[in-house]
Amino acid sequence: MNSIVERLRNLWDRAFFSPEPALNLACARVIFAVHALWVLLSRDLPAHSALPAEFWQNVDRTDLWRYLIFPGHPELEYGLQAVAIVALSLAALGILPRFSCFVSGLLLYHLALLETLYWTPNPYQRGFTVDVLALLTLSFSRCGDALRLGGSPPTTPSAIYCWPLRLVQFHLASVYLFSGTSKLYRAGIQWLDPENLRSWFLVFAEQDQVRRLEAMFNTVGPWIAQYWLLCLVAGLYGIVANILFITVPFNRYSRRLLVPDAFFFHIMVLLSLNIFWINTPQLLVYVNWHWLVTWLRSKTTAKPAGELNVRVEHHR
Amino acid sequence: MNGVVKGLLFLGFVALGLMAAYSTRAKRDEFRVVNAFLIYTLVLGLGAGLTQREVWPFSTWPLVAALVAPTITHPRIVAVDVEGQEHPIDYRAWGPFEIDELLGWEGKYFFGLDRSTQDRVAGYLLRVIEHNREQWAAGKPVPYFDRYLGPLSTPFFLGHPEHWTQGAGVPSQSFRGLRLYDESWNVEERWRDPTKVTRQLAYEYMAP
Repeated sequence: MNSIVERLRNLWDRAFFSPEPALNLACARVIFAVHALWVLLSRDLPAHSALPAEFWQNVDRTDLWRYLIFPGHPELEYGLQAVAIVALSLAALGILPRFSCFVSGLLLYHLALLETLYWTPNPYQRGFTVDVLALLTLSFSRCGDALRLGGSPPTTPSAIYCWPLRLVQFHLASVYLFSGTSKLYRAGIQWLDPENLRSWFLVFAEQDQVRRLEAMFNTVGPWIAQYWLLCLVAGLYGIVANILFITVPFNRYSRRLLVPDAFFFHIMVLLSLNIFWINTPQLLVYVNWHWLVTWLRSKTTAKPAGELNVRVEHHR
Repeated sequence: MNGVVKGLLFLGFVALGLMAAYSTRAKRDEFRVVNAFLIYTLVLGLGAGLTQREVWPFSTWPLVAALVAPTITHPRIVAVDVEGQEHPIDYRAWGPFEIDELLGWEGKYFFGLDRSTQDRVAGYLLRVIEHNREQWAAGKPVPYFDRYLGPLSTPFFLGHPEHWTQGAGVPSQSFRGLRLYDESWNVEERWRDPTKVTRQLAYEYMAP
């Protein structure tokens, strides 16, 4: 019994408390801050506060309190959005990074719901879900020890940079996990039926209201739908590859295989279903930036790269 | 689960995170509170996702998680001009609102409203798209979704066709009404013959 507990503890420590370079955590901060800024500047969330009362009359009062949304105050919301934009910019630039991440995380928790709360309190595919979790998690950690204005970054990898990075990587990986498990939970194993996949491809191709007009869209889906085997593969892909993605934060081989695979998956989904996966740039959080920078430096200073690789792998 | 409980669960995440941050300030190798924070976050995240009960931002991610019925129904809103002619509405004309969110609300709540409330809502939406039509026709569309980043703005989750182009590519007559249709089709039949769609008028609004 004791040995099982000991092994579990070792696994836990290896997963969350291995030595990690400060740069990787700081890069996560920049990635999520820039991503949130990208989405925020591409929408007009505060305007939703001005929707007439009829839109809000069916909203659960407890959900309004949960997100501190009180409709009818667009000016206030524009003010909060401006604070969020400043905070995200500071977080990306490394100025008061932890405080900026905390403020922007809390503000996005509020602002994101303006877009959907009048009909759903779960805005999971609009771009902010992982950002809110990641920015708050980063604010609880020493995410500002590298890539900041002023000071020099620590050179020694440490466990204090590992757990927050692993946790934000887990938040993103769980999106794929639940995308897989929810299909089984809601539709059952029949979801994998090639006929169901064929119908999905056809439905998206038939809806003229859900369409991007460029020539490359609406050709891949119908093409896949013609072949039973391709539909079966697509179904397996949608469940098995998604569920396996939860191993990515914890295993370097999974990272090397499943992260490029996810990029490919999103391109296929875009071409076949017209769905743009707003979280795609967040996959950069799985890149080992410290290794990349060290490798690039070794190239420029003509040091033997093999020696550096061994050192970096050891740290991981 | 009540919204207040969900809010408290989120507050627990924030409070434990702050405690974890505080605990590592002095002793950098003391991870007891960090472990509690990690366990709380993992349990909450996995609990929400695996049981499909959202505690946003711990979400459920049910993407394309359904069986497609043989016959499906989708709403379509068209604008009616002063001459009675119907026009498709460009998705950008709903700005600053997103058409997918409005359709989500329409499917869930619109037909539960009494007729006068429906008409007030429709009148409001008509004013939104008529204002945008005028802006587009004048060659000055309001850039609700690409004001800051232009073509680098975040695309929407679902793609929508662009029906309008500035100036002449916009309906010239003012919009006077809205019609909401339910369009139904059998997936296999429509694939063989794109005209196999049944359209039923579900609601109509004409400005007085």
